[in-house]
Amino acid sequence: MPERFHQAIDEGSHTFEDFYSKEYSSVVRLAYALSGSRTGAEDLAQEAFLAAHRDWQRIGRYDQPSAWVRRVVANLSVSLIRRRVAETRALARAASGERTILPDLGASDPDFWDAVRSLPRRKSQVIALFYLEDRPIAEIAEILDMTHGTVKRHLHDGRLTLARRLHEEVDE
Amino acid sequence: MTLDDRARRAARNFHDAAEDSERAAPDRRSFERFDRYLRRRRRNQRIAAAVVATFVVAAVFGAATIVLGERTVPADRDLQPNVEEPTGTNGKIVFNEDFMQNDSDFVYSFTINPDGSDRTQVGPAGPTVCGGNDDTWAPDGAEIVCQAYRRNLTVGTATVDADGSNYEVLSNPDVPASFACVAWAPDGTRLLCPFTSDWVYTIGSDGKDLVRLTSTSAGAGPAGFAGDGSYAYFTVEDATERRTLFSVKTDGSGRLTALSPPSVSVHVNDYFDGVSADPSPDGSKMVFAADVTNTRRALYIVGIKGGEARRIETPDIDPTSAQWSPDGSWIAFSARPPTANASYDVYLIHPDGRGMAAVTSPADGCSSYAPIWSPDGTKLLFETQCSNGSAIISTTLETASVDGSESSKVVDLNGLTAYSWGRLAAG
Repeated sequence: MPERFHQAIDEGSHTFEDFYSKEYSSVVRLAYALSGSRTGAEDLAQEAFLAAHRDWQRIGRYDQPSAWVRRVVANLSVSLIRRRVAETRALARAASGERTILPDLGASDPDFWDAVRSLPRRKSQVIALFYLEDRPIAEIAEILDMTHGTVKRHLHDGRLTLARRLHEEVDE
Repeated sequence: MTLDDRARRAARNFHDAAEDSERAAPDRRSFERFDRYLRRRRRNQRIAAAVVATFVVAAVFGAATIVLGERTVPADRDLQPNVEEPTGTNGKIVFNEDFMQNDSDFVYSFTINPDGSDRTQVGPAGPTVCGGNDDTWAPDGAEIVCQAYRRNLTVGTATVDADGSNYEVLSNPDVPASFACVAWAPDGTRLLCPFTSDWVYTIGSDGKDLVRLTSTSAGAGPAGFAGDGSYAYFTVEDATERRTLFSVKTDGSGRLTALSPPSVSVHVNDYFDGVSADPSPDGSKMVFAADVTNTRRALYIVGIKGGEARRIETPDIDPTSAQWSPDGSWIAFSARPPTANASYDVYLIHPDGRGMAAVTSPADGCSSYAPIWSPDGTKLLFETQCSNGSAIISTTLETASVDGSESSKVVDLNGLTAYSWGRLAAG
């Protein structure tokens, strides 16, 4: 089992604050990659943590609360309405002086991330977890509540589509 | 540069940039920031609740009369199917099973008798999926169509006998790089191939006579022939992630007809998408589940040639995986209440919306999904998965009589992708 998952399993006995501090950075990055919203990603991540906080007595006892919060943020981030709401909130706060600082995707191949986001919802989630978080198929299946076979199919189809759109060759 | 190289470089640069920005603003990940967010959301919710309450009080007077006046609960519990000509209840089942070995995923396909006997591997070990659709068996029950995922990320088509012999990859120089066929025509002479690099095709089961049906690609999802095979159906997902059900004439002469209403998106389940839509036995209609809003789903019936789709009400549950019974009198589907962590059950309903009844009643922590019918319409085959929190503890393929009174296990599985119940094999 990868080291990353051992860490996640241990988190079940920690407080919500510990959990939040440990997972926030990677969860907001996932939200950013999937939503493409520099302003709204933080709100999407906060919404996901808020959902965990509301039911922390139960979710905190899960073997992998980090997988649960990733599933929530992945679903929020690919929802157009949720994304718009998060952006609106974030822009309103920016107008009042609160800063949201996220890196510009321009430095990290925006065409690639645009292509990922243009994939169908489930495929973009699988691709983001596979490349951005370097997750193996078993963990992606756990996070997105899919079978291993479904993850493989989404990964296969998504990579094929990305290769076609980006004019790249696929690996043997 | 390959796609993998580019993707990993993009991810690395992304993480580097994020870490730089975090170093510049370490307070961004502090818990106080979450605490502020929490207080702000609670305050906004209180304000919103006060505003909404004003409108709700006014709306309740108007709505209550309509709701209380019209809502009735179907009482039809006659669950005995009208079976005229059974085609055999001991036809084989084909299923796929996932195995994790040394952190790698392997898919194996098997045939098995409904009583769990005579489990036989079909197709080569590896990413070969035999039975990813409910029409995956040849009409005579002798062969199965498989999708073979290659190492170069393309997918091909193969056929294999029910006993695992005669695995043959379909070969035709005119087909595109990816060419996955998923369903047999009712006369067993042709295959429908919607999941390709470009368009939707049919092809002879001998690999000859390629016919292009569309100028659009369908991808994965439910697909098959309807009725006598003169129409085919499949779904297409657009850039906005809305999935539409289409039909097309299989002689290559007709245009695509959109069957699902533009206001909904056909719902495709993630564990067995081949059962997300189904034609009536006579091929004149289609049933499918669709996302009506972001949170609710409904069943629809529509003519294979198009027209207005009729919504079937399934009170208080969200349906998926609708499948028509062989005699056309019932639709089986799985569904769950629209609440967090609710379990799925298998249900039946008449096509006119009467007689909805649950077939399964899984134990706490268990869900039953994606029913398909036995060839004679007396039983349902479905997956039951039990979990403890987010950890799956068992996955079982089961059968149950249509009234739910008898159920039996076919096989325990490591993981499941798709299954199909064939007819009695010839000879």
